[in-house]
Amino acid sequence: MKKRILAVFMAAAMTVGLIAGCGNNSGGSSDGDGGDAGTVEITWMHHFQEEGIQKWITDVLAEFEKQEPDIKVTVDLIPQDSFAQTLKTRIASDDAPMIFDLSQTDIIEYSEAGHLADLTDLEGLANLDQTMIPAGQIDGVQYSVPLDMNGYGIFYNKDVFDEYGLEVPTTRSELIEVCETLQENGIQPFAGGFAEQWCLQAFYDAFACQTLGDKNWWTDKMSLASDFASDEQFRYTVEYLSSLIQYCGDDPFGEDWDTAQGKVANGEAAMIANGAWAIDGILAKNPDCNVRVCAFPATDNAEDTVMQKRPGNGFVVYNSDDEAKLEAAKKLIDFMTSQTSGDLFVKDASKMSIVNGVDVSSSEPLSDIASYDNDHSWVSADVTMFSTEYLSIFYETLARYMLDTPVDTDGLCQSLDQDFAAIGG
Amino acid sequence: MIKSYSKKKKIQKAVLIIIGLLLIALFCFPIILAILTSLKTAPEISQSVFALPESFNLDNFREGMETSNFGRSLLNTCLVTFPGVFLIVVCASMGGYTIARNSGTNRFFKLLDKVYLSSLMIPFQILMIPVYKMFKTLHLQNSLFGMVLILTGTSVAYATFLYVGFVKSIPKELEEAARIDGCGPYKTFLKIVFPLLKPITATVAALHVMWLWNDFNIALILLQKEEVRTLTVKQYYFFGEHLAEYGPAFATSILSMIPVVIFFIAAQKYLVEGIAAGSVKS
Amino acid sequence: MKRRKISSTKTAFYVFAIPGLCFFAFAVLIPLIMGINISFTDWNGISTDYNYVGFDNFITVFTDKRIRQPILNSLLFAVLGCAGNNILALSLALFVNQKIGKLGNVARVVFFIPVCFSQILTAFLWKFIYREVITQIFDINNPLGTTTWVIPAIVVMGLWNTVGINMLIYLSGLKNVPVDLYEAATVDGATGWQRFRKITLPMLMPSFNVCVTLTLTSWLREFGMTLSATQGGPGGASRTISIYIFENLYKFNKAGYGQAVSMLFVVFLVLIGTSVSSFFRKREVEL
Repeated sequence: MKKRILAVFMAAAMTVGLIAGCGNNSGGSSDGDGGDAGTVEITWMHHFQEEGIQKWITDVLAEFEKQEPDIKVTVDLIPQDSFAQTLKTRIASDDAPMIFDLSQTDIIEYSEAGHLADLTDLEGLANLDQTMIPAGQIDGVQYSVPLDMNGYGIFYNKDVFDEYGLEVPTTRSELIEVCETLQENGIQPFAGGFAEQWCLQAFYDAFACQTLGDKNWWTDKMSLASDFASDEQFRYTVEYLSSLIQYCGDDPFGEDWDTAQGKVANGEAAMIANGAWAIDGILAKNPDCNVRVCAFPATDNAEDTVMQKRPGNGFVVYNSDDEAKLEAAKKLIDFMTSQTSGDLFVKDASKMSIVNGVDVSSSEPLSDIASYDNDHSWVSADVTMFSTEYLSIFYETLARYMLDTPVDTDGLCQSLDQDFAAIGG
Repeated sequence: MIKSYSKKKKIQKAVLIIIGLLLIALFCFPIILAILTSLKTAPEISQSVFALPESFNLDNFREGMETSNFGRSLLNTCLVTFPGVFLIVVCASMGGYTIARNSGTNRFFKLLDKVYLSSLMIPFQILMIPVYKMFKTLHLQNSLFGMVLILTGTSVAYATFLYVGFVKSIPKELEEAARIDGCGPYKTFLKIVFPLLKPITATVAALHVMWLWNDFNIALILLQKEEVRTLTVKQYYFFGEHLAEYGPAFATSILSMIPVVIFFIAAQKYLVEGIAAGSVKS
Repeated sequence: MKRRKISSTKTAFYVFAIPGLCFFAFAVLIPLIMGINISFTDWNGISTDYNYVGFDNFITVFTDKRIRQPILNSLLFAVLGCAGNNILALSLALFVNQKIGKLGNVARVVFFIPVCFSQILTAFLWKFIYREVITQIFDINNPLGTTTWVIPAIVVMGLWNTVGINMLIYLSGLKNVPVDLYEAATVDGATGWQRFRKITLPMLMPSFNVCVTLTLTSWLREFGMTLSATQGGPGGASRTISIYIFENLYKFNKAGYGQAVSMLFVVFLVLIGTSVSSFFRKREVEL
């Protein structure tokens, strides 16, 4: 009995010892300090789940390596849900990735904390659509480089539309008519995917942002310069949203994003209101789906129907003390603004690259978005929208009140006013 | 009289069996669903959830194993689980024994008992950032060894708690007899007490193999590098990366569970013996 | 000679406690103390500097309107989860303990297998079931998308995942009850129900202690499974305290505040846990 216990103990001790050996090895090489003389190792942390964009990353890095063989890039894929958490934990422990991406609002916090490198003198910036790059600037300093633009609108299955003789709606009434026709014929007009809150957010945003008023609408609400209860435009959008929920199927809040995309892909539903990544998602479900894009009508005035164009997340460089790494990371970002990268972006990821001169004619849906020129678009690049806490409260409250029909607009406004006031205090 | 009594017993037994089968069916249902789905192709799945797969299709399993670097993460999970459980049993059995025997009289052990119990209430979020910082300072990041240390440390309290309760059910006379016979306290523990703890040791081992195998929160922040990721984190990335491709997702999940289930079924016999021995002895 | 033996026994008892204590201190105590420090600051989780703000964070907790729903949700989770789990676990243990031969063994294994599923996997599997299967069988909306049924739906998920553990513990406890006690009672003319109340229940007190205390505090701390299943939705209907803390730490950039809420939460949990545990410890019967 004793011998057996001793044997087990020794086995365990050896195992632990072995692990300690293995552990130290991987611990040592994981930080990427040094390596071979001359090679710089940097980490790129991202959260892109779609296959297309992952292929873009692989292709871009392959091209970059030809140009800069001394720079080795390690890619870490972290799921969207835990991205913020992982990023913050790593920064707080001096283990920040050199390259990651942030939304327009996040760069404010991170730059204030001094974590972002100044990218203003990157040559490649001149390659990009100049109306979009303000999204990555704060007080004239460029902290992040957006590479794509998302169109927010309606993504529809053209085959379904054709089958029932439907035209692209340009006013609210026309949209309602389209919905009614579809519903009479047993097709679910909108696939919402509202089980995931961000889907309701995107749906609302697709028509609301351009209707709410001037570009200061968000900052005014955050600074309490204006309230919700007396905001007629806001109340209108709430009522409009509520009137559309009935066209989102039997169980809009029980349906998730994946199912929603699938429905449009196979013709069970006709429309999705979201951002341009939906194109890739729908095509992944059914490559033969004839998916097209149109702007989401906001009012009964056809002139108000504009394509909402939002710069995607911008790529940032961590403000490291290591000069070599800083240089290497900046080179990579610069490369990402090149024509090569832009073309790959469209080809692999079906996304609207904002690199000048990139040809999107190979993709019909992307061409649809591009067909809305500057007079028929609403660009959010220079708009400061809600920061995380306000964002979270705003859309969650919206979701909560949308669960009831008819919607209690007064209650909704009151709740928002109270909560927004509380955050400030 | 006797006839109707045995008839009553028979009816009771029949009712129990029926209830049992119903319960088993209810519990199994999700598992069977997962297995069925893992054997179907994507079009089959979208057609109908309930239908049987057309053929015994192992493509999902193959695809899952290839894309998720299954072998490596399986090894990592093993390297982290089994040494951890060993350490937990050693520390908790000793700790539980000493607390059970002394918390009545000695204030230190009473306090220790309370501290362990209270620590079970600590939500994980409060420790996340400090643990990560600590590990960075000690260069234990992405180290399986460090992972074992943390898993052991966070499990010791619960395991000790279990041991305390059951040591109390062992009469002290046996230890006193051993001491009179000239056994030192260490020998007494090893030769007399620990063997009597077989049932609870089996339970503690089975539970912690399960929990360490399935640990997610800690693995997510400490083992980020590809080479050291465990099965749970792999699964999570898989679900996220492949946006609900149910077939491969369920396939990899089943694969990662098979070792644990096998361990548990093997431990079953030991559990049964131990529990039975425990009851006959009384 | 005798004096040496006594002191070495006493030392031995302390030595027994050391290994466990070392691991515990490393993994729990030290990080906890480090974490306490953060709750007194206004650290936002990203910047390299922060200010000490004394007890401000703690005072804010009491005036925070948005914490009320998570508190109510967590309480509901705890009540439903704890009651459901223990009643079910005890029933299953009693069932498995009956003399029904092989069926009992099979049942015991089957009831435990769901425990092998990780929380992420359980959430994933049940999300699938609720969305595709339940909606078809019962012709109702996905319960995870409704505010009234989301918490019970998640509780069912959790029960499936964890009842096996408590079943094992209750089973161990049942097996530890000496058979002669039952025999003596039957001879005295006690009915099945009386035997249960007067012998089984009191002898199970240590098991109740473990199971009820831990299930209660565990459900109060519910986090991973709910986050996977609904991210706290719809409209915040399933957001638990732990999820709220997590959001403050990583989404809202209020790490100091998040840690403060955690601290108060820990105190609350410890109070509840120790009171429930003492309740059962007092009623434990030692042979």
